[in-house]
Amino acid sequence: MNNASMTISMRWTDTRLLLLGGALTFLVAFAAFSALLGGPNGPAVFLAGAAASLWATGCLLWLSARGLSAVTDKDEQLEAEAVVGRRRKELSREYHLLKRALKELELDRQMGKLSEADYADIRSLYRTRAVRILKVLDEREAAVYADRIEADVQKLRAKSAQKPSHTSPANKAEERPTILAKACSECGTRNDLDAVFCKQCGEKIGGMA
Amino acid sequence: MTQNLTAELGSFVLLLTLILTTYAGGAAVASARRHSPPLFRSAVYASYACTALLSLASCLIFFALLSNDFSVKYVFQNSDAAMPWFFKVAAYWGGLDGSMLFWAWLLSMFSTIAVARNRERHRELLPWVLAILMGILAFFVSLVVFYKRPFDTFLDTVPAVGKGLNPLLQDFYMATHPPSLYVGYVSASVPFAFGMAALITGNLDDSWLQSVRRWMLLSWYFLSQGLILGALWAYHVLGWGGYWGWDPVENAGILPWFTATAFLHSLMIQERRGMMKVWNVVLVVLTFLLTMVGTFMTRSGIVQSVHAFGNDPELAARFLAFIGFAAVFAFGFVVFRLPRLRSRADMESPLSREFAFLLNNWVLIGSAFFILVATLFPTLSESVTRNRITVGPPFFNRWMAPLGLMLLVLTGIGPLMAWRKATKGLLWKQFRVPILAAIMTVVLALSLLPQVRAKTSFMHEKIQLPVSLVCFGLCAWVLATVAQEFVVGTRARMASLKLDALTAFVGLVLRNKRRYGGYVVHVGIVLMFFGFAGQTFQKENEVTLSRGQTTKIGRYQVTLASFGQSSDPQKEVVEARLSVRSGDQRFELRPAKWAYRGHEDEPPKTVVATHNGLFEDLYVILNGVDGSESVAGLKLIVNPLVLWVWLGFVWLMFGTAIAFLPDRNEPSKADDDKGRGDGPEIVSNTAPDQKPSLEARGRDVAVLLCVVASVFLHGATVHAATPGDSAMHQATEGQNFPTPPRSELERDLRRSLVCMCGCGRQSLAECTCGFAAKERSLIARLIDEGKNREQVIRVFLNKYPGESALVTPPDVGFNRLAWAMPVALLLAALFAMGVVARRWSKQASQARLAAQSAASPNPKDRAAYEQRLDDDLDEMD
Repeated sequence: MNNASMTISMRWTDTRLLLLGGALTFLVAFAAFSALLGGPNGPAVFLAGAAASLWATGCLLWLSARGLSAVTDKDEQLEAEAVVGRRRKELSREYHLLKRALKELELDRQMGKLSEADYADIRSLYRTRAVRILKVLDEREAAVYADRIEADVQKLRAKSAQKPSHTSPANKAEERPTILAKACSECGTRNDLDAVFCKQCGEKIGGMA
Repeated sequence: MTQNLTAELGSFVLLLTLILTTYAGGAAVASARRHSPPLFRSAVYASYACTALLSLASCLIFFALLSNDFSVKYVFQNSDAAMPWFFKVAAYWGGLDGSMLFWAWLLSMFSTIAVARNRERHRELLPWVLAILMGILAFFVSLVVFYKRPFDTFLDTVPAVGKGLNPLLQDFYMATHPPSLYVGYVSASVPFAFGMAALITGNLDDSWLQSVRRWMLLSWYFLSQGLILGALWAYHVLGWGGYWGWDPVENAGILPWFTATAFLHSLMIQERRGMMKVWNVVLVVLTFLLTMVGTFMTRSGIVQSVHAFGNDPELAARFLAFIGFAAVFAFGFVVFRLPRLRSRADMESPLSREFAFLLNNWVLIGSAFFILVATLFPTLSESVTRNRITVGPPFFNRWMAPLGLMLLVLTGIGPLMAWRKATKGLLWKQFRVPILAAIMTVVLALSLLPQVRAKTSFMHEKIQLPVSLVCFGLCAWVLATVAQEFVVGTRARMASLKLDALTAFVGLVLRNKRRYGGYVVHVGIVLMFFGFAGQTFQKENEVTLSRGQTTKIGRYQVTLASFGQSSDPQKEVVEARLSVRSGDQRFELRPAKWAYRGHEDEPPKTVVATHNGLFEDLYVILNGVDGSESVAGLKLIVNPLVLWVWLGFVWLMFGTAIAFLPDRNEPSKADDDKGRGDGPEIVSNTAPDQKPSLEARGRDVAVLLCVVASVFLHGATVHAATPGDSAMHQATEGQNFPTPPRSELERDLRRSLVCMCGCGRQSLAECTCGFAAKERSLIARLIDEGKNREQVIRVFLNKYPGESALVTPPDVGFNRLAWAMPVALLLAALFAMGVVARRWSKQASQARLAAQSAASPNPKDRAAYEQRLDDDLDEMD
């Protein structure tokens, strides 16, 4: 799935074109107008600014028109994503807010604003809710996992039906589908989901998946 | 030929911008309905292009201004060749057309920043955000294209010399106060756009709030800064001795400030409890609408003010139409989405921070509503009773004092409460020290400074209370609260994490930036209230001194040493050189009058001379010098505690900087990304709650640097706020030499009657214009004829329409509404709060029982989840 086409961020090349070109235009224009107006002064600066803005406008108009040319049908993926992702984001955010609330509750108790009884009361309320959210998130994740596993297995089956496998170890490793994997932040090797230490470099792999 | 090229290019660019803006808005809406990323991308780039185009147009205007291109009408009207370059730059926003262009430029820049920063999250909301922002931009650009065109040229003769910027505006403060205020106004559009997008899409979870908080904080900060700069300008330049006159335009500026403050507080309630969703959306909409109303009031001529850009009914009509449409659109959607906005949770106890914040919101909104109605009251009364009255500062002060005190009380209570419910038994321990501090302060003040007992009107003329004394006590109350929060928090952290004091303290602030940044802001507000309370003890004296003569005011002995005269290409200067002695201190003050060439039809300006001290300012106005130059008319004022208002603002700046930095415990972009619908990251290489990325850290540093730079700039400003830096206000002509009041009756009458010169609503005692001088001599004559107070007032009432000559409208008939209204509001608010609090407490206990009996995961699973929760919580430390 090519995510680049889904984003609205400018590609790195486009940004570079815009910014460097703009800076260049500004400097060239400033030199030119300073010469024309008899020395670098205020008006020259602003004319150079105008020139740079003109460059930027040109670039952006071109980018805008180019974007328009790619318009085809409704993007169903995006639509589906909006609905599914929304609920998940909501829960994820609520979980985060609950964690922060628990931290603040702790601070309030330490500062003597809450009695132990009240503290325990409210804490259990928050924790129950947080735990329930974790459970729901896991269930959703598992469901999505199942679909993804199925889709990837199908893809691999199709691929291996076409090409016979080579004996080189590198390909062998690739062949074995490490679909369920967690990448080590140090060396990038894919590890099993429940791995605690990286099998390649031995560093600890952080937190939850 | 180049000159016309600039103008033509400029006009073309603006027209192109209008087209692009419309396209961008339309494409954004289309992309939202069709779920088409390419279309949205096109819209986004088009909006970026609008920013580039408006920058281009602005550069062209700057070029025209700096190269003295008087063929462009705007340049002619607002600039001249002799002006220093920074005022030529300031002329960009000095005139009406330019200010609209400036607004559009700022809005386009903020749109670009808002969209670019949020491009990866809120993908559902963003098209609508862009559409709304482009809609607002289209309105302003259309004003500048069709109506108030800054690039219009003279068709025939090109004038050789410009009119010059209104000398009033040739001043550091006036160059910096509008941009700051505009930044504050314009940045309120972004939260509005997000709020509307959330309403339109129905996606009303809290994620839109997170992006919006910083924009609102930014808007709030620049509004505060703009208002303070305005106050500094009024104080040092306008020269009537005060810094806030409850002028309609000042009021228009403070209205969105109140709603923004209310939002920043009630936001916290929504984040923690999921409550007040409707309220928050309404506040965001209101803030935006009020910024529009502010702009509208300055330009429409609907109110009398020294600030006004002028009288333009057509422009007023356009603005009104826009505001009306926006209001209907916004509130319509609020009503439409009302079912989805209902909150999940309920308030459990009135002894909670939520309730304190709710009260705080009520007071803030109440203040805003009161100011709005009081500002519009003259217009209202005129349309209803055909009788125009003047609602002046005494009326405002009478009501804002109690409201301010209520806010101070709440500022002290809020931090000491816990969320959800505070334990009643522990409350006394929390409040012990602050209450003690307050009582001790009041006692100390009474014993050391007996004049602190001075009474002022409280809600009604007939109720006189020592408001300032109470204010001092409450200032101590709040400061003690804040200090306690810092100290106890540090101690708690030291105990639980086994740290030393300094590490614990720094850690405390950095882990809770919003809370402790907010506390620092509160300190700033308290210092400002301390400064405000000083106004009660203002002393003033009007004298006529001949050379060598000495007069006394407060601790100061003021002697007129000599006169001075000078001139430069722009103006002629007459000044009085005073030598002042106070105890061991000696210094010189030089109040002056500046007469600008080219503006001979206007009276010369008063340049005040001030000596700023920590406890009081000595403030001298030169009223006039008589023909033979041996006698000077002076007004001497002692303004206590004014410096604390400016110092308070510096604290406010620091607090805002702290609160602006992101909390580590905030949901970051990474967390939001986990919610991507295309499935969770199969290969996950980021740990949750990771250290902030390089980009994020860089951003923080940049923000911090900007703020620090701003702090230094302001420190330098306050320090360099020299007297006579620039001039303002009308002055007396030679013949109308001002005399001090000869009797109590005369002084009272001068204070009770308004100067109808159009300067604002200053009384005849304060206004230093020629018109006021004539009126004052009329009073003197009437008194000599033997008339009493009622008869003199009768003469003035007959002279001017309705009762507008009176500073305080008489308490009869329709005017009763003026004070009846706030009282009624207050009672209604109290009643509503009581009802709401009772209803919530009842529901709360039911909800809790329900929640506890709800199904929870079975015991085995639960342990695992509890462990995960604990791991997560540890990571947050």
